[in-house]
Amino acid sequence: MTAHTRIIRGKDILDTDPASLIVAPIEPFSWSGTSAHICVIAASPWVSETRTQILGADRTSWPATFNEPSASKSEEVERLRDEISNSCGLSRQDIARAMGVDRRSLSGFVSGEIQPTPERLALLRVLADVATWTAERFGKRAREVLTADGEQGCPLDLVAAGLTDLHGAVEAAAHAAGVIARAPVTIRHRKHGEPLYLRAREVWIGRADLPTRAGVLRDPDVYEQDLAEAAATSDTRGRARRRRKSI
Amino acid sequence: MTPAGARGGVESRSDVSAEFFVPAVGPLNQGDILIAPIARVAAPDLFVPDKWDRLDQDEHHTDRSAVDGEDIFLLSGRELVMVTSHDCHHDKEWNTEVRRLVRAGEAQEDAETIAEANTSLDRNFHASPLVPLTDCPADHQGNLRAGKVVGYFPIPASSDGSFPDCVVDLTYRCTVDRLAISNRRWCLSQSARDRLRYAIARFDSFRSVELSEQLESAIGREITDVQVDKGSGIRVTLTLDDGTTLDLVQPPAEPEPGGRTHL
Repeated sequence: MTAHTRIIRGKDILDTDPASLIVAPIEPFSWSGTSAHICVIAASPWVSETRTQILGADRTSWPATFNEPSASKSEEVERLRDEISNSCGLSRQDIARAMGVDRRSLSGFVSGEIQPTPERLALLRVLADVATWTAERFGKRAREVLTADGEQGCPLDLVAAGLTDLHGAVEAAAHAAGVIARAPVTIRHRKHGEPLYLRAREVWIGRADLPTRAGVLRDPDVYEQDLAEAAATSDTRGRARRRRKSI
Repeated sequence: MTPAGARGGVESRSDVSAEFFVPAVGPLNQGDILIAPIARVAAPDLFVPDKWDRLDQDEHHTDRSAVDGEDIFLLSGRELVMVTSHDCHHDKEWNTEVRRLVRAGEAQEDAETIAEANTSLDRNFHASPLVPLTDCPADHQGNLRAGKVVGYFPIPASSDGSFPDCVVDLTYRCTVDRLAISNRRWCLSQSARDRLRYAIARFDSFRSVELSEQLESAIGREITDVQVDKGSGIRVTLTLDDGTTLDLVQPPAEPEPGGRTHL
């Protein structure tokens, strides 16, 4: 763990100011953050201050605490930087912004002249995840989305602030950038006949089940088709039909 | 609007029902009867045919003025449906994933286990709702019950009284996520499933599925006799050397100047 954080174990959590607690991932770092991969840490002043600034104290964010990666830090920074650039076109300036550093520092991380702190490296990993799914979601407009100011702020700044749950923030940024538009939906219950399922559900209590998820191995041919065989079903005998004049 | 027979006893219907239904077990199967949410796209007037009055329980209006100005209207509900997708469809992606994992070096058993745990595979299937015969036009109910109307598959009332005589309305087909379903109880028996497949093929391709099979079996046979239907003049019956016959129908054509139509 780093100097900025302290793992809280067992009952010690009860004696800690809740405002200073943050749920954080532990190795291996997981974007989705399963319970097996998180711990509670006492946040550094930097993290607390930033979190409060961005979200208010009642939101949970995930600053990072990590072990050393197996590859050298400079190699990992270079690899992630290139992945991010390739997936969504973020510039080195943008990437540095999400890491909370300037562009020269990012170059220093890559060259090995400067050692990134584990927190900075974690931010880069988060950005790589965000960049990947933003590119999948918005394609060529991914950079436009990640650099836009949404309701919660610019996604790059939110990454720099230590947030990892950024789906909503990115959607908001996409909306602000005009990449997506939100459509309000109105739902109205209509007066209708009694559905059959009500009776069935009543009768089947304790006897109905759900399908199991067991596949059956099948020959690959089962899933293949030869469109050339369509000629055998050609409908050349079709009778002339009376057609509607309009729809 | 309670369907006729839905709350009746289990008397004479049980024999018919026993031939038609078996308890549903194991993975999802074509012919399974279960409860699922369904939906269909509608026009702005949200028109509901009488036969779908039970199905269309909620109206959805998506205001897309901020997107493209073309609003979308849906009608949705929850109802008894029959699975119409073929069994092969329900593990298609699973099969692909198992093969990929095996090629990547996983043991067959491990590959199957990993693929089964992957909830993203084979999520969707097709289903059509059950519509009580009594909700269909009275003058069509006889033909519907006899299975003579393309687009509808008749099923008898269930022996447990959970649903009345119905048709599976193949004209209402929707894509359902398998994780959205609940309460599965019955599945069609093998012979009934054969009939369902015929009804689906007949509806989707709108032609006889027997035709190509008959022609294939006739290839290589000698024709021993030819009979022309003198009444209509457009039907020819070929008798083959194995005793089978093929009925051929000539498309009606304009008569020659002499008034005769050639076969």
